[in-house]
Amino acid sequence: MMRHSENQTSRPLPKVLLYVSPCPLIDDFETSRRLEEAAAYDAALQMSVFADGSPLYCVRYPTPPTATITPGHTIPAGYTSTGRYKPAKFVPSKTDKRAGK
Amino acid sequence: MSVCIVIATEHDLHADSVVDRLRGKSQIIRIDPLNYIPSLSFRSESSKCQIGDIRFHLNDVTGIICRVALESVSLEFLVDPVQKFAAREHLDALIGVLLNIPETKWINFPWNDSIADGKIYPLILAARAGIRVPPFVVSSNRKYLFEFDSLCGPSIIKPLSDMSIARQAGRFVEIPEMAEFDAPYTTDFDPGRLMDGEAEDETPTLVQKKIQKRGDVRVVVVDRQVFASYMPKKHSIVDSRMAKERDEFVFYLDAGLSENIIHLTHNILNLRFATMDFIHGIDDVLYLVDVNPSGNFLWQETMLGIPISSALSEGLL
Repeated sequence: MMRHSENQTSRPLPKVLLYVSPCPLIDDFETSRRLEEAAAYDAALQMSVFADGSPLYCVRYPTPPTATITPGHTIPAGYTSTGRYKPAKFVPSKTDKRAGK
Repeated sequence: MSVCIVIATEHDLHADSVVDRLRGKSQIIRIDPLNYIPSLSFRSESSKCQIGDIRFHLNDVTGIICRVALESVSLEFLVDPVQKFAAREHLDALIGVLLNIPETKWINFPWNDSIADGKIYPLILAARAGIRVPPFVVSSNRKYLFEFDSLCGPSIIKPLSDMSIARQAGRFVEIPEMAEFDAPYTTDFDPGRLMDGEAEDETPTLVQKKIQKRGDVRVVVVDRQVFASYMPKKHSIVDSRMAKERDEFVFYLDAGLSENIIHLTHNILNLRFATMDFIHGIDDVLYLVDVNPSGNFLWQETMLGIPISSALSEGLL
């Protein structure tokens, strides 16, 4: 889900946006995405778990799941290990900021 | 049985880690206010409450951890006015009830989080608390930025806010897709780029003295406990978040700095939890460069065994 603003091509930019640099962590984000897609939120346990019941939070991510701009992605719809249907869900960026801002 | 309330999105693995440690020790009510708020009832004269299936008295709540900007939740993503109205009513009911829980039981009280969540103000307060902070300038005027750079030596540039933005396929987007993108990381301030580059607007810009560093230190404060990890400098990376390999290890701060950090967190920012980024300079001084009142810490726990979630859960019980 890419959230476009208006066309910015000819508009003056904030100075800090003239200093953008390439994100070197795309491969790691992709690995993280696959991990997250393999797990689902369990309402009874109130946390995300894999099919075998082990918690997602214990997994070592390739990079800290934190502290930088990460791509958002959509977890496709499907069935959980207990047979419950889960609709597709957008997973927002992970940064050090609080959710909802 | 006591009640602990966890306010976090379903995707928040930090909240998962805390919930798992609270299990069996307390009744847990986890709420994702950006997704779904369960049914709620509250009697003002008795302070009896029911959220979902759990009935309790507000006095039963021993702690509440809040990782959502509850004070400023935006519902702009909802298009349908009835749905938006209902969501706002739900939120106001929830906030109105939760505000009856004393501020001291919150990690963190969202309105305090909000004040501490920025670049300028917490760094000014930290300097007043005796913590070393590299000098910086904020200006819309490139002349002042150039002046600062020539006076203070090499400097870095970084965003003031924590809003997500990236340039992907030639356009700026708020949240990039899973493909290559550029982002405004902390980077060397090269005045030549402003002089030769594209047109700039008058948005204020933060330029800070560059500290020649030995490494980066990530500090986590939970009540009176201070945890830290150290990542030695590798190559010429300015922003440690871009490091592909993290040879991080557990680090112990000296007692004086720990006390200053605790003082800043509790007495000045009125927080029970915060993460802070320090740079270890070649002069052997630790310089504070960022305060995140709701920062992440899970990698320090899974990779280094630092027991942050346990400390948080103990603080809630």
